[in-house]
Amino acid sequence: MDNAPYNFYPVWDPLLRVVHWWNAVTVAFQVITGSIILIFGEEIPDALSGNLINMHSVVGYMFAAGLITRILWLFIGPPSASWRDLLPLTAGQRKVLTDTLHYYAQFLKGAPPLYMSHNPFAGLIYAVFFFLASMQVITGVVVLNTPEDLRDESALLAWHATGYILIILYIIAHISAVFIHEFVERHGIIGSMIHGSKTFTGEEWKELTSQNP
Amino acid sequence: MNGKVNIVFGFIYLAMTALLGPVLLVPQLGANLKTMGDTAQVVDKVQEGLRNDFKGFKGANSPNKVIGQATVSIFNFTKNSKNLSLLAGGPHAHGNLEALLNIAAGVVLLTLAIPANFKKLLSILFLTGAVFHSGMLYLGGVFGMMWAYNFTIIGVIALLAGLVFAGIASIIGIKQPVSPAERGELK
Repeated sequence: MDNAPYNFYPVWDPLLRVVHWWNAVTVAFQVITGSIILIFGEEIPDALSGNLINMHSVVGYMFAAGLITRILWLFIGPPSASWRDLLPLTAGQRKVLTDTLHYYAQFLKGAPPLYMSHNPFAGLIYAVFFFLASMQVITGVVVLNTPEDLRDESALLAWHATGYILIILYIIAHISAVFIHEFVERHGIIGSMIHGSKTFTGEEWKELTSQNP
Repeated sequence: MNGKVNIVFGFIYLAMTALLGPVLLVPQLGANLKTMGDTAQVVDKVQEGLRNDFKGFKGANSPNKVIGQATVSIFNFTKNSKNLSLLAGGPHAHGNLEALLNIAAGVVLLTLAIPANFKKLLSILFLTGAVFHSGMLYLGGVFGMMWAYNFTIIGVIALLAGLVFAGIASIIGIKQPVSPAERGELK
């Protein structure tokens, strides 16, 4: 690791950061209330169960609001928030994608791949998450609008529960990857989702901007 | 997409939704009042019969006929009321409100100091909200296109997102005006 000074360079726009934390908080709330409903469903008194479902529904709508905003922002937001930044469309993005997979396969040995905003491998996973989260919203709304005595028999409730497990797996993978990349790459990716700037050495920044003028 | 589209859409949409009042609601209201009067009369007859064990209720006024008439009348009244509330609560009330919301949002967007693409996002959210919420209620309630109700959820979520992020936009985009003296232009 060289001792070149690291500087802050703006990467994430304010709206993307607000939506990110909005979605993070609402998803966390949904996972907690969803887990209580799923695990202790039969044992919870009716009144409390009704309140839990109401809270889960209200926050579910709030999450849906964040999700629709992020999806629209993929198309009208700045380049670092764009769908073009998520998907490996260019040769450069595909190279970083294969380098990242190679880097993981070698258990993080060697130099980590360099990228400015989204890692193309993470971008692909986020695209899958957007789809999965949209399915959770749709199945949740349909189940909520199903008469109460028919809800338990609804196939969509089973789909909603499967989506819940996949989202928990996504959260574990996302948080683990963020911490691993934070400590290995030293680009300040956790802080960047708060203040918007990543840290790069001058040379790294020159290399990145020459790739993406 | 800086708010102007929302204002233009809002006024035209308001004309369409406000029109439902005189064109559809008021005539139905009259018919509904007549059904209510008819229902009250026939229900009164049943109540009278209940008080005296239907003594003297014969022929055209036999208990079965009177109770049958009352049941049909109550059903008709309920059906009319349901139609009325489908129009009044759906496209008329929500449509008017969302048209006004688009006008207000448009005016606010014109004055906010936020990036152009953030304005575009809010503008799209409010337009999508109105079209997919009260717009779909309009198709279902006025034109009987029941499939349209399935899409109202998109409008609900878009409106919710528009309101929340317009609040955030207001936090960062409403600036205190700086007087020429504060700018140092006046001595």
